[in-house]
Amino acid sequence: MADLLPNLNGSPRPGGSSFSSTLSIAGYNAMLAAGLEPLGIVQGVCVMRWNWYGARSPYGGATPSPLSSKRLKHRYLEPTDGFTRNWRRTTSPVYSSKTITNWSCQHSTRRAGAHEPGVNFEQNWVEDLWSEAFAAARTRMIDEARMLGAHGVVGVVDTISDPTRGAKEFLLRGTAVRVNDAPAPLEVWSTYLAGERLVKLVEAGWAPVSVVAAMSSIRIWPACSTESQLSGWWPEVARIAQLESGHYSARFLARERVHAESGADDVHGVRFEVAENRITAGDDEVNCTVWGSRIRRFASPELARAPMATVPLR
Amino acid sequence: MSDITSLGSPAEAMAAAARFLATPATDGAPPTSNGGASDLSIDAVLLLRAIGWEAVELVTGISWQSIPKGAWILGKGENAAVTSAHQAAIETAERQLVDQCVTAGGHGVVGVRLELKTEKQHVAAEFVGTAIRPIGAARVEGRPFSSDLSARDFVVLSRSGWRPVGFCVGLSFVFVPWRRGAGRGRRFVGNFELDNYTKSLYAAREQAMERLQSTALALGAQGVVGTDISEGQVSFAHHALKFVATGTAVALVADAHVTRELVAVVSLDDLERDFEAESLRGS
Amino acid sequence: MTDIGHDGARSSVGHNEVANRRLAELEAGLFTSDLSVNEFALVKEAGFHPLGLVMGSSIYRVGLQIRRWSTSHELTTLSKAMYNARELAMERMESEAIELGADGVVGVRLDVNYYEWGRGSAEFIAVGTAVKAADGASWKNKLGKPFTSDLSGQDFWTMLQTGHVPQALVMGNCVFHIAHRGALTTLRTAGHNSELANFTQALYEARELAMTRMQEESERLGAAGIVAVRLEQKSHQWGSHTIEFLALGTAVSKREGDFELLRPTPIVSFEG
Repeated sequence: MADLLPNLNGSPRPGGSSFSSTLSIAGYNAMLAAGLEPLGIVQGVCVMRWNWYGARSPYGGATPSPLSSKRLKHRYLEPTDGFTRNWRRTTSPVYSSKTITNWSCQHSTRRAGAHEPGVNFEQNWVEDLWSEAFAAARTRMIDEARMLGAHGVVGVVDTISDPTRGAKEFLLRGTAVRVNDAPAPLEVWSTYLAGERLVKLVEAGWAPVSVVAAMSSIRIWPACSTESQLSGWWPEVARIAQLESGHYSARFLARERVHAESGADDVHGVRFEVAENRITAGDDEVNCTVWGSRIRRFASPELARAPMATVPLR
Repeated sequence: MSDITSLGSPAEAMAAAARFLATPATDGAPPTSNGGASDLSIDAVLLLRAIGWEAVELVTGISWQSIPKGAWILGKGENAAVTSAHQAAIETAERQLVDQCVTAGGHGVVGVRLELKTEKQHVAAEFVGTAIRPIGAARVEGRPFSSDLSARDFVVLSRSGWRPVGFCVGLSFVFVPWRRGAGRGRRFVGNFELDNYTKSLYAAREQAMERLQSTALALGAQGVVGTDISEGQVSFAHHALKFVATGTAVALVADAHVTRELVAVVSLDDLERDFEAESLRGS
Repeated sequence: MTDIGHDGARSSVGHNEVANRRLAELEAGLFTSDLSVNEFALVKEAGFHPLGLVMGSSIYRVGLQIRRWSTSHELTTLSKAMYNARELAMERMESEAIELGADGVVGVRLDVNYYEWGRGSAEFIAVGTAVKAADGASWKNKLGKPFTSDLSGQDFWTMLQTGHVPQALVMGNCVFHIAHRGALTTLRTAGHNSELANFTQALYEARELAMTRMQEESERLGAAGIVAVRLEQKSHQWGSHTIEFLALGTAVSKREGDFELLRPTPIVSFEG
């Protein structure tokens, strides 16, 4: 770590008697009122190689085949509703209660058809890589804060961008603070909240623990019946079960990962984003990212006073 | 764990939190939090707390339905295939949302947002919301409610003696009526009402509202609040129109609406200080 | 609009069977409203109960036909058409409200939609929430019809506190063609910043017409005055030479009895 942060080496940044912060005026005011002293802006960065998953996945040159490889830990999300892998060619489809029993699979005409049709699988290697990068950026930010003698980092802003093709940068930035007249915590805490919102959270009986985030990545290789549904050849309105399952799982698994990290602690101010990525025809990916502030209750809840109802006259 | 009423000023509360975080957790002590997640702001959390409710979990539901070929070819009146695809997608996604709420131990879902993506051969409906429950309550008997009310609106409604029953959607996809042959090539003669167009669009709008109402009635509701009716063209099929009506069905908890003492206030915030000359000129 | 004549013809479009079914459900007791929760609470507070969403629409051909390009003048046929289109939409909305036995309609929203397939035509929509007084008294306006207003729930409550009651949404419009100065004239004065007299005159006249017509409607109702006036100008699909000016407001009259005016409490909020 020391080689990445040459200027810190145990001593504060040059000009260390004044502080810098990303806080707004109102935010700064709220922090002071709560006995929080800003010490300086801290940041953590991690740049990861981020290639196409497929031919150039971090696990080797070949397209990972979930059915053949035993090294990869992945979860099969089996398609339901009787998808068939029947490769026989016929002239017209024969339906039997929403299942096609004989159909020439469109994959046999596709160039990217080396894979087994009709499977969704979780791309653990992508998810782990993402977690690793986020954790590294967070750790570096926390380390900077600790070197300044801070108790926590508030107002964290995180940016994930692509500085160049094939790389992804994870940047976490926040304001390191110290709580006046209080002991140092066991671990330097961090939170996305700042200013009045953080103060209200603490007054409500929660203590900030850390910023958490996770991503889930589901690869979807459509079955022939999924493709026929998507191209409109399915004769009636019907659930596209494979896509539904893939999308549902992406959103669910990301939250599960965040909960796994947070344990029994609550997660506040959750944000989530979903991105669909078409790698090539017949090869799709759904990525869901979840962010939140992990918090822990330290005081028993009291029923707050009922608010007063007002009508504003403008 | 100290009682919050003894925390005092913000600085004292922060110092108490700091002391808590400086103390190693005793082995075997039960966790102090619920292990839940929510996307509510702290203000919304506090408002819910004021009526004795808490957020439990972020819940989602998503459904994809296929639309057969030829469904968009210009026809007459209502486009049954497309309407039923959307209805099925919404029903399935909403069921998943409420199922997730049940698993999380919630009594209802607030802040539900519906996103409908209509494509030529499929439609995807996605729901996101926050499951809530009375603080520390056991599992709900019966099915949890869903509503597009914000947490804040839920609090206002509760204090007025109402409870949400369910999020309702009514839809109608119609084709624009055929142009009458006599109209084409005729010289423009003046401004007048286009009867048959009016009739079709009027009927479609009413149909969407009527479906919304039927859904509400089926849930045993007394009314629907926050109704929003939107209409638009389908981007890839200009002759197809889409009418969507959404709202939250509600029912009285008590015998009657509860009225509260209201205070009229004048805000001295500077937000409205700028003189709006724009308002004189018109929009 | 008395000065440019009243179009006596009324379209034959009335309620259709779907609308009737929907209104029947509302009459049986279900209410719908597009009021927000805040507005709902305030409308109840004011002593009214929402009955149902009421709507009316009309699709009107509003094609442009300009004969005299070089003078600024009102396009009376178009003014009439735009006015009639809105009137029709409002009337249909009102008839739904009458069907429900409403005392009034609040939160009226007037929109115009343009569709790809309908060049030269536009859809005019009026949507509002029909309400009924809880005390059973009649709140209908001087013409014996349910009152209409585009006031929000908050403004409705506040207005009732001041001892006034809405009568009807009144509007006045004017579609004006503005003649641009000729190319030569423009070149001659290029580089000088001077008043564009044509424009000033035209815009002044057009707005005056719109406001006057709105006031006349209010006078016919015997109202005390108009509140929450909004002035809008739209080119719709006609291009920059032709503008419609629309003045909209709620005509109100005083209620009987004495009313103690509200004494508001000043506050400063800590919202960031």
